[in-house]
Amino acid sequence: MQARTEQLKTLTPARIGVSRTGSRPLTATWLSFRADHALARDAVNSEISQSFLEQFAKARQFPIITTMAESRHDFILYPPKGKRTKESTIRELQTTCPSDIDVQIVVSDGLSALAVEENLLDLLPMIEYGFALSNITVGQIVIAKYARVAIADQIGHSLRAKVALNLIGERPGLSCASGLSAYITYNPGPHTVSSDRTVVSNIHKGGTPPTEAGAFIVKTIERILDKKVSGVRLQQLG
Amino acid sequence: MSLDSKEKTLGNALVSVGIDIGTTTSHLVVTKLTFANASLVNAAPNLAITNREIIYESEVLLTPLTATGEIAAKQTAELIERAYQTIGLNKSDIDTGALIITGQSARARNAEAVSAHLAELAGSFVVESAGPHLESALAARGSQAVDYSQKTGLTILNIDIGGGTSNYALVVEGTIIETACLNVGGRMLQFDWAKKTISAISDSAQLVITSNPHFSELLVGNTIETGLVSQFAQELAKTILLTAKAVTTYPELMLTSALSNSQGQIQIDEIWLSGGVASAFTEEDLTKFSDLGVFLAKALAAELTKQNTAYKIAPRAIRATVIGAGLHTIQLSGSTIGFSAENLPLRNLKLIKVDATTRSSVATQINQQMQQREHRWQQFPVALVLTGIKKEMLSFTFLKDLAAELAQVFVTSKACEPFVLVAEVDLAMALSLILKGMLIDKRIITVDGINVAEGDYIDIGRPVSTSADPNTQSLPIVVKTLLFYKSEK
Repeated sequence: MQARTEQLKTLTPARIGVSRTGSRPLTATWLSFRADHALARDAVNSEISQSFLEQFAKARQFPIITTMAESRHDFILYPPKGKRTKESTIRELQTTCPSDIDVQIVVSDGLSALAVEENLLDLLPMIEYGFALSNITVGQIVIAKYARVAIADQIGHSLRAKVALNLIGERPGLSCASGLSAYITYNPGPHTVSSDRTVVSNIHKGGTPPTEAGAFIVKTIERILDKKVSGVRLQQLG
Repeated sequence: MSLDSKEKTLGNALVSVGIDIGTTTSHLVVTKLTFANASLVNAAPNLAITNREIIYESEVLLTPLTATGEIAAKQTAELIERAYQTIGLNKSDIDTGALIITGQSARARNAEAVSAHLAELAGSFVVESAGPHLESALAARGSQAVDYSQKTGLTILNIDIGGGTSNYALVVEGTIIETACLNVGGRMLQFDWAKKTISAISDSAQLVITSNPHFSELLVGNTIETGLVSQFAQELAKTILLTAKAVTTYPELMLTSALSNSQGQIQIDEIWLSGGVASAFTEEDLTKFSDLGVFLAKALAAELTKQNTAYKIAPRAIRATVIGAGLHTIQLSGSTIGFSAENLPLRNLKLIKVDATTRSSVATQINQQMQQREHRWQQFPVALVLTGIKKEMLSFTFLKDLAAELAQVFVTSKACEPFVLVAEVDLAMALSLILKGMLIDKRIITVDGINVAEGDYIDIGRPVSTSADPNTQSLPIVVKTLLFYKSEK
């Protein structure tokens, strides 16, 4: 039966069959819990690293913007600030980025900058490859710091994109700190509510691999452009 | 017949038929396989079979054979048609299924031709299959030994003893790790109880008789001596149980390699028995059937008791193989895949296994295997199986390089379309998308989530889905062997 427990434990990253001593967990269990918790906290508090931005964003001159939040700390304490950026930033994007496009891609740190760094280098090329193949036009990719899901709707709306795609770090859990989600809105704007968005979640090496997720996002956006709806209304089509 | 038509139109169930043409008996079951999205909310979808249910079982039918030992194709076809009529089922209601020719029947000269014909008759995506390893695995699934081992973590040896063969499957924690097949079964001697004489002796029985002068009185036409026949059955029972311990006493009777567990490295917790002979364990009347079946059952029971070995008779023992064929041959592919429906179904594609981790040698590996297996790729498509890929290797660069390598092989080999690629790891939609960029206007089918470890051929059915979203479809897949035994000398 010992072997059976070991086999079951391999099926989930959850803390099952960890034993106990008296009413307390074993020291090893406790330490690994603390370590994972620390990892999750770090992910929430960390910023997208300079080296990643140098390597990834600078080469292709992706604009890097911030939201109404002035710092990571400000963003964590006042979450609503992450939903929008300043009007001046929007005007700047409008002068530098192409508009009237099919898809506006925004990369956001969200609650895990780690998720962006770990997945984007495989996810983004796959998405761009697929869009090119289907003649779906993408404007300039924007990187948003201290950002939440709705930021892409504001940017997409201002650049008159048919679809806003936000690739954003998920809130870390105790088993995974590097999960990324894709939020997809058709006809994004101030009127957009959560039910308007289609989500592809759990993108990371232990979940849906970023390459496969990228291909699925392309196919999903093809369908959204075809049906001209996203979110719950897309689901209702069956 | 409780075929819920509403559920069918909702598209979350498949009607599957299993047909087993055995040495002595044949069976047919109709089953319903329900599937659903087993993925997390909002994650990329993944269809999985969530429930397997038997909705009809035929009676135990005697396999129609001609005087020369061939399968009587016409009568066998009638058996299938009659079963369909009884339950009011049309061929078009059948989504999928498997027809397997087992035991001695697979040795009949016309086995291959008949099975292809009957499968076609049974439904548009009913696949034919055969092979001693496959039989063994299906029996262990149908006897529920695999399920039970999965639930309890116990190691089970399932022995399915039919008319012609005994099929072994060793199951560890729900995974079949080894199979073997011995040419011993209840139909080795046939009796004419009216005349009280032996009416037929199989080649496998003759082999045992020849090596044991003690049994030399077992001759066709001789009077049945119950004592001698019982001793013969005892010899066979011992052989069956020695084979279970990986000890081979009659090498010529092994139709596969012996089990490898001769040192008892793997501790077997339970022995399960299925098949016609297992179902005769409770039969008292030796003359009930016109063969050795009841003798063999009695001898086995006695031998197991003598050796102090505990055993279980599987529920529905005699139908284990057919239930396995009906319920467990289909796998559903991952839901993020690439295909064009007009190419489907595809049948009997050879599986060509390629280690995809050393990309530079992909072309060489493929060419070597095509030559070895004498496959004319320009005329007949194959399914390339990409092995060795781990989830953490799936970077965009890796996939792009692999796709480029594959695209070049397809083009330079003038390979026959569609190009079919199969993998276990989650890569099909990505690989398909990249390949489409490299091979414009070529027909490409990529599927993942499929384990092909035990197979030589693959059949791919038409897509199934739980929603109208074309991106969340799965393909029903059968991985199988087609090893019809060589006809004897």
